Amino acid sequence: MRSDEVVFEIKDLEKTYSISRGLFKEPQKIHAVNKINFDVKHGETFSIVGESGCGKSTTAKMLLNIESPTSGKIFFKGKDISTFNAQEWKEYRKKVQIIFQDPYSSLNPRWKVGQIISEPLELNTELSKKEIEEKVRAIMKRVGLEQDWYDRYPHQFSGGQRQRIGIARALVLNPEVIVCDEPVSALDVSIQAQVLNLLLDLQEELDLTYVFISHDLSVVEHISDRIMVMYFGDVVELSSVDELFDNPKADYTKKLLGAIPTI
Amino acid sequence: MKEENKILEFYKQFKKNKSALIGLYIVIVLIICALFAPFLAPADPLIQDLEQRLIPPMWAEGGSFAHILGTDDFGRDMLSRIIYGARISLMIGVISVSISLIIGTIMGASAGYYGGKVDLIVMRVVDIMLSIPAILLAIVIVSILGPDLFNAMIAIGIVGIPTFARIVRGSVLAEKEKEYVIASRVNGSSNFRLINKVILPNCATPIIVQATMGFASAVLEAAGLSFLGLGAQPPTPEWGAMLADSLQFITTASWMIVFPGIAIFLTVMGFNLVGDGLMDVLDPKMKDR
Amino acid sequence: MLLEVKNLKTEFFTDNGVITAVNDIDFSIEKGQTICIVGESGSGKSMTSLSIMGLIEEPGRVTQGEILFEGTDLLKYSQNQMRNIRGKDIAMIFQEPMSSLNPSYTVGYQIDEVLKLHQKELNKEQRRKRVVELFDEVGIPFPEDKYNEYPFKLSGGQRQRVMIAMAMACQPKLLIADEPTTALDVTIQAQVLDLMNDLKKKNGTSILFITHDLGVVAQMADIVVVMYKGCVVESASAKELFDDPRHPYTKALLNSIPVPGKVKRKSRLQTVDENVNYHDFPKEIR
Repeated sequence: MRSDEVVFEIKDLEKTYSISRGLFKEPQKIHAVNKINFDVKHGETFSIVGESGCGKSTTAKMLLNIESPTSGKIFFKGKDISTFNAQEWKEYRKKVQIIFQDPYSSLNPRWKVGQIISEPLELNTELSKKEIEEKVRAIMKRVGLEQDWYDRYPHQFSGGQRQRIGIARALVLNPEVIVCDEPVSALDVSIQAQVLNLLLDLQEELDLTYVFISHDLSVVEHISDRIMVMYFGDVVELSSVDELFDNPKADYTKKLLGAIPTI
Repeated sequence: MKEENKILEFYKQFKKNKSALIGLYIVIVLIICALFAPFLAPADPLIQDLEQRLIPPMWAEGGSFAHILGTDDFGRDMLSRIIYGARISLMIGVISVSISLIIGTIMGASAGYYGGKVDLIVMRVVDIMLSIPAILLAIVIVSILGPDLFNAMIAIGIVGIPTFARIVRGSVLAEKEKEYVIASRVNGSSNFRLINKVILPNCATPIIVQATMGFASAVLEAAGLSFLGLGAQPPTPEWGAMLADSLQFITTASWMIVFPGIAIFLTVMGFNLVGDGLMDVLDPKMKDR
Repeated sequence: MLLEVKNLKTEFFTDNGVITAVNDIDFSIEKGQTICIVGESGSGKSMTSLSIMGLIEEPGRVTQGEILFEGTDLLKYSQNQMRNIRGKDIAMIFQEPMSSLNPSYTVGYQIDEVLKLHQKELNKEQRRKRVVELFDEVGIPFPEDKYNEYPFKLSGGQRQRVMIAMAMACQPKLLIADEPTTALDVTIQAQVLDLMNDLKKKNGTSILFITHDLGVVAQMADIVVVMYKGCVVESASAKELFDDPRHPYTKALLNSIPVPGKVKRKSRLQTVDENVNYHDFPKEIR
């Protein structure tokens, strides 16, 4: 259920990369994310949309601590995540998870499906092997994976099925927030529909909050509550989905909306 | 597809490459000789019988059924010495490659994963080692440790480290940035676990192929060292040593040189062919898409 | 009729059995027309274009059918004869311009090569002029300077424009475009699609456009051919297809797309049912 409780508060978040250009030149600075601000409320689907190089993926990575911010703060339920110790990170991981974009490279090719989904439990809980297996099998069922796939390898599955495995992995710790990094971009249109339906069902059932990264405005329009449009590291517009589509304010937003090939 | 089917599938693919199959048969024969030497060899390889010196092979004039491949200058049965030699060559291969593989993998994985200073130091060491000709380096090490078969194995093992280090480093670098590694890291995996359980299993292919090729070069290098008197010491029936001891008989008792020479040749070729075959089968199969 | 494909069948003979990638399909393209072949992965749409270009390699082969280009059956051509046609009468552009452009040569050089091959009457000066002309036609800014650039220095959109320039260099009668905008940002995609339409009007080129994106189809196609697992299940003019889709697969496909304004937000989208054999339904060829 959506509420006004703020789950994430992002303040002046910045990520700059320095690319060395040899001994004699100044390193080139790339401003991937340029002091952005936004917050994410409980139960909503907050989408970050933009084209390549806009900084949306980098932002997602910073929420998961895959990249560290150059400056700025990320507050999760009021706590600054840069101050976390190991124990606090463990707790954080149980609450915030991620689904990756590429179903072909986000699953360890040498591990069986059961092992892939068990990993978060093995690393972050004290459950016994048996308890872990029970939980994994329960999640597999929920997400639409057959039980005997537990012992199979990722390469035996299609893109859509692999993405479900990735979703199962993200759900197994019962998180509150899932960051979805372009989860359907690499999928066929009809498979995309299946995965989106699954994500919507899960959100209702498990009271999840989504931070949804995408470049596809049609998909974003379908599932979001609020949308933030990024362009070369800056936030160009942030509003509710109705507002954005009915009444876009920024020029870039209008350009994006105009470029969608419509049926 | 169950586990057993995977092996069958693998074998089916492997079989297609005729030369790889020949290599495999050679290697199997070698392993059987090595394991069952006491049962297969007609005589004890070390027992001398000076009455029976320099008897030519069975099919030549003067040969006898008792010594199918003839005897050497100490009356020892050639066939038995060749068969026991297989045991020694296999041991050389296993021990040397193990040393190269384990140390090379640790170095390469650390360099690839941690990058920065670690990478710099490790790769400079590797470069230095690679700039010295392998056999020379082996000779230096054996001279320091003392001429002995076991020391020769250590020397060869050390000489093989840089190749493994480079291969593993390359493989780790390629896998490191992939999403499944990031996924494990995000789940809280330690660096140690990331390297050993997450990344390295995906680097198995080049490591396995190099191990097979390394086996071949280990046998060759050991033969070379023994030839120079730095490896196996008499009366050990190591093929290279047998070659060295028999040079003086090249015109009078050529069989003393030919048979160990053929044994070395077949072993090296066998492992190289298997390595090539493995490379063809393992690589495309491991590609997901 | 510029191109007529009749009873085309392309099969792959693997150790695990025969895979029929293209299963007895027919369609035709008139001069100046754009046909879109639309389908998902495994539908055979890419294999169809490769079959037309004679680019199917072992263990695959075209096992049946005719591909009549201006009346002549391309399937009867030798590799040499096909080489004469490729790049000159029929040109092709692919999805990933980075892998279809040679990273070791400048973009100018690569187009120059095409001209050298097919327009031998031009000398070096004339060729260079033509390349710059082409760059300008496809909307590459500062075309003179771009001649000496390497592909890695160009953006995705620019590289795709270079590909189009290369394809249009000899003013082909038919341009085959295999998912040319799938890897591009949506604003760049819009520009590239506009460019293709402009060039088509100017040169009278027919386009065979392969895609999985029904939105792109709506923008580009005169005729739409829907493929499913190797077969054509429906074919109609773009207007007819979108106004009145007849085959269940086409309907399912159209309903699985979230269209802003037309599909209710957060509703569950219709999916193509994996358990239904869409081949059981009669084909809708209009």
